[in-house]
Amino acid sequence: MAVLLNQESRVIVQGITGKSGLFHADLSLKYGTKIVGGVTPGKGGQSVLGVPVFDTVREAKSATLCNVSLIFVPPPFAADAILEAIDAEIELIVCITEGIPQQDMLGVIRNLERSKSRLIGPNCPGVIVPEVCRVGIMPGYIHKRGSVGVLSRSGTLTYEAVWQTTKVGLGQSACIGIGGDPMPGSTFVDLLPLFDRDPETKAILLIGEIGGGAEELAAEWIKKNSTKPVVAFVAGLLAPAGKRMGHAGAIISRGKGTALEKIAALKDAGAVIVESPTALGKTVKEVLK
Amino acid sequence: MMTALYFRSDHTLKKKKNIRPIHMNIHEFQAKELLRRYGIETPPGKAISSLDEFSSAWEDLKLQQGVLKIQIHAGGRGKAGGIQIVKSKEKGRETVHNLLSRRFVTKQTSAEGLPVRFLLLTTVIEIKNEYYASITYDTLKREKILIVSAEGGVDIEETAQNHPDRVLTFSLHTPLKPFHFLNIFRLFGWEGELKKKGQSLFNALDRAFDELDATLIEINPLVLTPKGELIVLDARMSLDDSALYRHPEFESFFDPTQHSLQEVAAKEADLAYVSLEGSIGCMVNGAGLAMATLDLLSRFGGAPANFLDVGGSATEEKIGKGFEIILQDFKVRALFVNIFGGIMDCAKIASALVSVFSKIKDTPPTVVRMEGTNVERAKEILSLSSAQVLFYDDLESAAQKAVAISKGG
Repeated sequence: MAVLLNQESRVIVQGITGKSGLFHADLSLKYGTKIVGGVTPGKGGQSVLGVPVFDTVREAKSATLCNVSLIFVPPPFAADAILEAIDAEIELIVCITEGIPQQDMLGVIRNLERSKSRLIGPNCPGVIVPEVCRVGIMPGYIHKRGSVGVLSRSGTLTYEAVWQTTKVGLGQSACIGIGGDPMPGSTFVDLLPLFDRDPETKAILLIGEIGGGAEELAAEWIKKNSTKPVVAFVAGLLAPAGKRMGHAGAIISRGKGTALEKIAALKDAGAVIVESPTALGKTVKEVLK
Repeated sequence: MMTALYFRSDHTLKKKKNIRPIHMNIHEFQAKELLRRYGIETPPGKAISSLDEFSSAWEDLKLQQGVLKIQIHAGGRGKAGGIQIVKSKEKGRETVHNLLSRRFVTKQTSAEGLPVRFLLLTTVIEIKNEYYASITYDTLKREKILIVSAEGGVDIEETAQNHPDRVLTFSLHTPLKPFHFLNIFRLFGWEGELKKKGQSLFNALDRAFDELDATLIEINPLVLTPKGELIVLDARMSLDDSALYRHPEFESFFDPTQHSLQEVAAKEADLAYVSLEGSIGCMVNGAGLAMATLDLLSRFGGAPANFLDVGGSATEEKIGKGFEIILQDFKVRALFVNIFGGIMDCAKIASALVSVFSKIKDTPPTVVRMEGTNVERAKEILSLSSAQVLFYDDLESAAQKAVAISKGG
């Protein structure tokens, strides 16, 4: 297996009959992804884009032997869709949906902890192994098979990073958007080891942003474990200082959260910091020289 | 016994906020109203927004003296003079008149401050002891947590830093259990009847947090009165934006006076927008790219007028609304459009721009940089229209140009 996906990945789309689900399932099929079915409760028995639609994930799994699910279900039902995929023991669940209530996500995370599944997202662009398998919403043409592992909290900023690494001729081994929600299914430290182990990945490009402490934890991991060069960018240096409610947040996150704190931690861990978002590709290229 | 009068020692720490809009902040009086639904005791009080309302509230509450507290979405109210004790109705009218007619600058607001639309009038509460309690998510550990301290009312952040043993934090994977209460009550030194009251108070807070889809409930201070009552003297609450669909009644808690005109218009159009001080209007898709765009403009010496994330699935109409909101801001001297199409179709952005520009006379000089889904069609739309825009493929040159224009170059 390359990172998370390969030629053998068999993908179903939960919410395949919805507008975005249908649109992106179609693009993924055209990209060469093995989309083997879809799930929309109440629409089982139909067929769209030449693949069968099922009422439940369990049915889809027993009929298609899928091991990956891509979720486009609207926010009020998305947490349930993820839980259903966990229940069906889908190995990789990628949830695109934005706006899942935090309380619902907490329930999902508790279930994930004792499951056989890995969740990427929600509120993320998905995962792609260029020229092999696209499980997400990213524009396919900006990617190129290559040596940079891209790991990001952002959506469009990831595309920027990808496009730049393509233009400098490096390409990507895989790109994972972990999503912008406060409590994502997987964080940097869950995924860094996969890139570190992957023989195709020669360097890791990590794109972080202000808020939370995922970058600081990533820095700790990199310092102790990384065998490959890491290049990092953190967005939000100029994010407006604003009114803040209460003290609880500060009690929890003391010393973490601002762009400067994150950059300092990553630099200390030996990562090469990119200062301008226009120098992402250039910097990785220099590091790999 | 501590002094009978209550003065809040206000807190000064100012932090960068996460620009992704995930919380809806509400006023103290609204938070207290929600807490009362759970049987949690707060000082008798009323929110008022005029002198007439003050007079009738004073009568209704049968006050001899009272506390007036400005209601704004920021802390630091006490030090800014926003919390006043009034000893008579006449003094009270005078204070109401002064407080309601002005904007308040505190250490947690911008330099322009926030206007006061509501005051909270409450009784004066006698205080024996003050405590701190909050429930929130620790997003890093991905769990719900309870934080308590026996040193409420003072600077809790300082206490947490210098005396971590005086602050207890619990992960709440279950409802509160006997061992939680054992720990809390030992810290607070509570015995007998007080334990019973405390148990129902903490259970109620936890239930309120879940049922209201809160992301923060902070009680500071929780007070013990000489008569042995537990009263929530001050409360802050943030609600989960993503869960508002489950609580349509919370819509009425939105106070437009606490936001800029552009922010209110953006909220109506369901766009993520934050007003900034500079002169370059920014239309970007994706929060990360929008933040990176602000960083880039400032690297080149420019100053953005706003943060706007139009999102991935916006309709042409919504994008148009976004352009209009940016252009309503009189500070804007250049417009910078930076789009990396994924879900977003670049052509939709181009059409929206052309359509808005056709309706407006004085459009600012505009720099467009696009890449991704349908970018060729977008270029075609822009070149066939009469809209005067400079198109770049390259982000760096585009940003430099926008900065140069904003400076009159």
